[in-house]
Amino acid sequence: MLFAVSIALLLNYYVVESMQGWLPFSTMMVMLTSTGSALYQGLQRFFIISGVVIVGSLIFPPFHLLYTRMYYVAIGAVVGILANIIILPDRVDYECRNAFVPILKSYAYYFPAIVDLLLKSNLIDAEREKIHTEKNLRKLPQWVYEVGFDSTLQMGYRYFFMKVGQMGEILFAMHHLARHSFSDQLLNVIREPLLQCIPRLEQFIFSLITVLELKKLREGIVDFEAELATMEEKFRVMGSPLWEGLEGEKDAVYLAEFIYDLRDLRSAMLRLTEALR
Amino acid sequence: MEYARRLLDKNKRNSKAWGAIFYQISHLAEIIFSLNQLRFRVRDYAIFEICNTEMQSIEKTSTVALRKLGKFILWNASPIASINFLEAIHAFELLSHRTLQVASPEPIIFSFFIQDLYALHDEINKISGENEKINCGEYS
Repeated sequence: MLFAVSIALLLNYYVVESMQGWLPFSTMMVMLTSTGSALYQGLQRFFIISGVVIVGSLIFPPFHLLYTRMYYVAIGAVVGILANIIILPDRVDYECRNAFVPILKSYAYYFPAIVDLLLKSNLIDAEREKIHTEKNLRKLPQWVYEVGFDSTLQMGYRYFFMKVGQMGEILFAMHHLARHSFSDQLLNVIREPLLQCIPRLEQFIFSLITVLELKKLREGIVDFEAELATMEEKFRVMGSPLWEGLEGEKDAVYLAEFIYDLRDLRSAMLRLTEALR
Repeated sequence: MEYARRLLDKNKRNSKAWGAIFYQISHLAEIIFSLNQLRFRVRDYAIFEICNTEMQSIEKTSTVALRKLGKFILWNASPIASINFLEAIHAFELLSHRTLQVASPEPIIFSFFIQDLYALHDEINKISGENEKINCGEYS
C-alpha cells in the first residue's frame, strides 16, 4: 500500500498539481480491501467516497469544486485498484494454504492428546493442545466469506473452510466427552483400536497437508475405517443396547458418542480429500 | 477464549478464583460444540418438525439460563434458577422416547443430544456455584 500511496502522492504533486489530499486519500481507501475482494470492495469504496464528495459539495459550496474533487477521487481510485490487481495481486491460494496448514497440524497433535485424556486422564496435554488449536483457529481465512470474494473460487474455498472448522468443532466435542471418567472395563473395549487410530489419523492429516502444500504424495492416504469398524463391533458385542437406540448408561452413551464423533471426523476428512481433487 | 486467558495472566492476583470459572466456561463451549453436531448428523430435517416445540423451548430456556449466568458472574445479579431449562430437557427426552426413537433413522443421535443437554445444565450450575464461592470470599 505504501508503494501505491507514494505513486498517488507523486501524481498528486507533479501531474495534477493539487495541494488537496483527495487523490492519495482515495488511493489509500480503495486499497484497504480484504484478500480476494480487491476489485469489488475497491469499487464499493470508490462509490462511497464519491457519494460523500457529492453530498459534501452540495452542503459546503462552492459547487464547482465538485468536478475537480471527483476528478482527483477517480484518479486515486484507479491508481489504488490497479495497484491492488496488477502490482500487488492477492495470492488467495497461498494465503489459504498458510492458514489451513497450521490448523490441520494442530489437529494432528490435538487428537492424540484427547485420546490420552480419555485413556490416561492426562488433562494437561489436552488443555495445552486445545489452546494451541484455538490460537491457530483464529487464523482461519474468514475473508473467504466477504462479499465480492472471487466468485470462481468462493464455493471451493468456503467449503474447505467449513469442513476444517467442522473438524475443530468435532475435536472440541471429543475433548468434552474425554473429560468424563469412564470405567476401565468400558475403556478396555475400545483401547486397542483407538490407539491404532492415532497414527492413521495423523498420517491422514499429514497426507492432506502434503497435497495442500502442492507436494507429491509418496504413498496413498491411510484410512482408519477398519479400526473404527472394530471399535463399533466390540461395542456392539459388549451388549450395549445403545446402537439400537435404547436407553443406556451415561458412560456408555458418552463413549458411543465419542466413537460417533470419530466417525464424523473421518467423514469430514474424506470430504476434504474429495475437495482437494 | 484466548483473550480471556491473556486477561487472566495479567491479573494474577485474581486468577486463581477466575481461573476455575474460566476453565468451566471453556468446558461449556466444548459442550455447545458437541450439541452443534446434531446439525450435521440429522440428514432428514423433517424430523425437526416433530420436535419443533420442544426444541424452541430448549432454545428459549437455555438462552435465559446462560444470560442469567452471565449477569450473575459480571454483576452479581440474583443466582440463576435453571429449573425451566431442566424441564425443557425432560420434555424433549420424553418426546424422544415416545416418538423420535421410532421416527428417526438414527435414534442414537438424539440420546447423545439429550446427554449433552444435561451436561450443559450441570455445567451452568457448576459455574454458578463457583461464582458463589468467589462472592463468599472462599478464594481470598
